[in-house]
Amino acid sequence: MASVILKVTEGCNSNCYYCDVVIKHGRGGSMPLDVLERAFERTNEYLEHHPEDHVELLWHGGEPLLLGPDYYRRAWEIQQTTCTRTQSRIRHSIQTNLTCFTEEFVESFRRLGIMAVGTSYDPEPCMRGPGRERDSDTYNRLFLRAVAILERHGIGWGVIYVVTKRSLERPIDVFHFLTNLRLRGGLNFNPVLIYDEARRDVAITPEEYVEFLGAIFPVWWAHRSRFPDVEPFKSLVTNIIDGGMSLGCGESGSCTFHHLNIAPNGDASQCGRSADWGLLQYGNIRDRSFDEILQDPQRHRLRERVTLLAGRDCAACRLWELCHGGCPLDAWSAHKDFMHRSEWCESRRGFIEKYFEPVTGRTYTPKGQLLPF
Amino acid sequence: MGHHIIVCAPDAGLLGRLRGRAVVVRVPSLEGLDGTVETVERAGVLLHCAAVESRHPLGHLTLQDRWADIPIALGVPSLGRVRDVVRLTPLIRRMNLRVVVPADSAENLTGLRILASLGVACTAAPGSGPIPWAQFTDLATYALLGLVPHGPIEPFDYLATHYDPDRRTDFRGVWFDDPTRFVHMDGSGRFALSAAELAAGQCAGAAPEDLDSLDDSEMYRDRLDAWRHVFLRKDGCASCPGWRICLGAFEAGGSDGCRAALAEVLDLVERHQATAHKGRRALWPA
Repeated sequence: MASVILKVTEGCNSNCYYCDVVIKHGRGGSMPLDVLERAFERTNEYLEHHPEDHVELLWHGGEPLLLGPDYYRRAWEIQQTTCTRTQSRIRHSIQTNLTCFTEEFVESFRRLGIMAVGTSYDPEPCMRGPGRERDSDTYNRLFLRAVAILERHGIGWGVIYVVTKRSLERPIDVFHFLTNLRLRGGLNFNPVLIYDEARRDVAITPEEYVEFLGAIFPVWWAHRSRFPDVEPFKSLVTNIIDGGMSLGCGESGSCTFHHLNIAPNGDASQCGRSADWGLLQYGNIRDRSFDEILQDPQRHRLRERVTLLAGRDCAACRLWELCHGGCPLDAWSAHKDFMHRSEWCESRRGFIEKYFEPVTGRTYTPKGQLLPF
Repeated sequence: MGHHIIVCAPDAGLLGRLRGRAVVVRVPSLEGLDGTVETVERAGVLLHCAAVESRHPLGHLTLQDRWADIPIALGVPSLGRVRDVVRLTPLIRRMNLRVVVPADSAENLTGLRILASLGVACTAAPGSGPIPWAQFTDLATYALLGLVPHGPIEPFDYLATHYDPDRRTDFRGVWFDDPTRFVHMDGSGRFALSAAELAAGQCAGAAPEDLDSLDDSEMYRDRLDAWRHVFLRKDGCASCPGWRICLGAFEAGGSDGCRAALAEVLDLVERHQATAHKGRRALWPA
């Protein structure tokens, strides 16, 4: 499945402390309808050429709901006219802070088939919110109001929690707070990624992330039937205990084959972060098809990275199949070069060896899978 | 006609305006029970339950056979002497009655266990003092995991039958304090969504007829969503592991220790649900 990130706006109504706004380029633009229409045409073209494949359109920003309910009504109409025979193979999802969400979005979401929403939340005061002071009280009230609307209409939602320095004191409280908000989980703990010195006060090390997860994991493991859907724990259970394979884009080693990001002006890039950083630019969807973009020669570099790491940095790592050297953008952030493993590899290894395996009593055995291409 | 059960005093004038509706009538003493039932029947309202508040321990009371079919929540401050309670139990067990005892003393929590062991349905209710949480969780353990037959003990029995991991569970209905099921009405017909709100004058409607449109009102919807406000603060009940079965029921009392107790009760409820329907091991035929 091709994963297309539609960055429909770079504008945002929140001033989250850990957002990497400071290094973003061209902030503030939104995707005009003619570019949106072109994106649907390209989607249709791709699906016509790949009759067995699907496309996931991830509405992203900035804050994508800033464009208002009419924009999404129009998006559905465009899909109706441009993807007549392929629309059943288009999956929509959205990542939003929900603070603009109202009843008026519900019908458009339903038409587009968005039955679950990705969002994020932080109970820590003044971490998220509008304005210089980050009015988290206003943010949280709007967020909770939106969640009530979603639940009333049977629309699911999942929440990303960004682990910062301020989270480290009370991991169990954070965990219970979030699982009280989302009873069965639908929860993902991500480490904060800080790229500038000004906000180092909330940055955490890979070791601190391990300890945060390690404090929560025994509680989750003992009660996993109560809140089964908590990441990264659930995926590790799938990969290490259940014999399945569930890897995110940063761990799969295969993002190069099927991810692309479309900026508001139609510029294509590898993903949201590469677009923000001006890396891995693949031209504009006005001029290039998705197939051309997905076969761009720059992507070879990412494929070579996996081969290189498998024989060099990660050659002796028994967890290679769970990680594949991590996200290339992490490597670039630390080394200004993709050809290194991510520093967050250490957190994955640390968590598995220090907490996951001892608590579960299960040891990971590599499956001996080939490289992901 | 609205589906809410109305909690009110046995005021003949008010009951006359509630024809066809279900009521919980608060009766100040057992002596007033016969008269209340007569008033209720004359008014044509449906008696969900007579909530009788006695000032005397259970063992001191005289119960009547003629009350056997009246649904009664009998509030008592304590049990009194066990031998007096035992004397009453054959009749109590024939009655449609739950004994409601404040859970604010270790003695009462032990008393509830004794009552249940006698086959009497009972309820641990908030009292005027703090709850001894260690004894509270002991009672929950007995109620949920005890293998010897015993009467149901609320709110644990409610949790055992209603807990659903996909939903938040509000057990306060066992104390008639659940806005999805009960409203509290004064003599003029004004009603509120809890006893405390009625006492504070925070009314949801001015007359019984307003109940019919209550479900459609935005105010009502907001009130049912009020539990979400707990998530505006990072501390407090929001981070309690037992919150999903309590929703802050003990927060107002500034209760110490409820956090660990409710977390344990939640574990017990889950254990009960996991094992309750499993067949017991078949032994050799006796």
